[in-house]
Amino acid sequence: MKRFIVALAAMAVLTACCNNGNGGVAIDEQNHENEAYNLSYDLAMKVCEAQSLEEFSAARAELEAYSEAFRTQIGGESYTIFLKECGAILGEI
Amino acid sequence: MKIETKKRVALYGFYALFVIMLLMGTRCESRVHLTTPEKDAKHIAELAETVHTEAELRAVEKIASEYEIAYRKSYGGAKALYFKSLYEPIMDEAGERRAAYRAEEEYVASLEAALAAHLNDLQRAWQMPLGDEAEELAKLQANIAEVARLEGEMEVLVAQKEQLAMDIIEAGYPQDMLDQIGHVEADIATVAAAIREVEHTNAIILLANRLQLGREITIATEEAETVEEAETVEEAEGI
Repeated sequence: MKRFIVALAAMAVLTACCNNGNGGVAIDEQNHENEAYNLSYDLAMKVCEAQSLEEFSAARAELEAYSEAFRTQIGGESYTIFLKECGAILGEI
Repeated sequence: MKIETKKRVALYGFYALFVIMLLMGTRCESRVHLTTPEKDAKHIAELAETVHTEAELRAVEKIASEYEIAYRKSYGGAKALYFKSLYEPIMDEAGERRAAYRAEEEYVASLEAALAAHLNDLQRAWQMPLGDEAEELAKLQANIAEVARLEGEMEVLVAQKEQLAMDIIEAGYPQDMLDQIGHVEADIATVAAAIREVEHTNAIILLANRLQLGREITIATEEAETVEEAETVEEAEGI
């Protein structure tokens, strides 16, 4: 019985981890279009303003995590806005 | 005797069961249950409204085609044609909708590719090992010389293509000459790609210097020198 409960708890933890696979990134679903504009600007600027490879890698990872979150959680127009804005800012460097 | 009868009954029973299963199998194979052409076309329209991907479009087309075949088998060609006339515009609309989705998907894919390319360029710039300013300048100038060489090669190829195009018209479009011009066009595309690659490398070198060391390197090109010289002459002449 004890083993069964332990296995069940492990599975629950694993499921919770899998559900949170976007590195804890969650988009405000009520305000996703504004989020797309604001986050794309903030994250792309973070990438541009990185002062070292480590900072750049961290900023890139964050941007990609949000990009994936927009793709999987919201999609549609907001995802396009996010991609377009990020691309425009990074293309300016 | 009794055993023989039992065996025979079992055998007949088995055959009967086999025939029933065969009949049921053919019935199950056909997913189509015909009602009226209007109702069936409406069912197809409902399915077509949900089409989003290429696979879904193909699936609905397959179902519509199964209905059409079923109408042809059950009621003959006239009813099948009537059913076809009802569902074809619906499928055309679904196809157009799918084409719009495809265009959107391609646009999003191009944005994704552009963003990934920008990030990869930055990564490459951050990871690029850098020397002192003179070394970096030498690398840039070597690449500029390489571009100039490739541009020369390109000019030769373009002239060759133009000459070949004229020869082809005169000779009446023979296949061997058309193949030859195809090869030249492929060579032009290869050289153009090589030029873009070297120019891109130079852009990355400049970016790497700026990002890693805050160093802006100015390359004195022949064109810039010519412009500067012209401006000096103009100033001297008081123009």
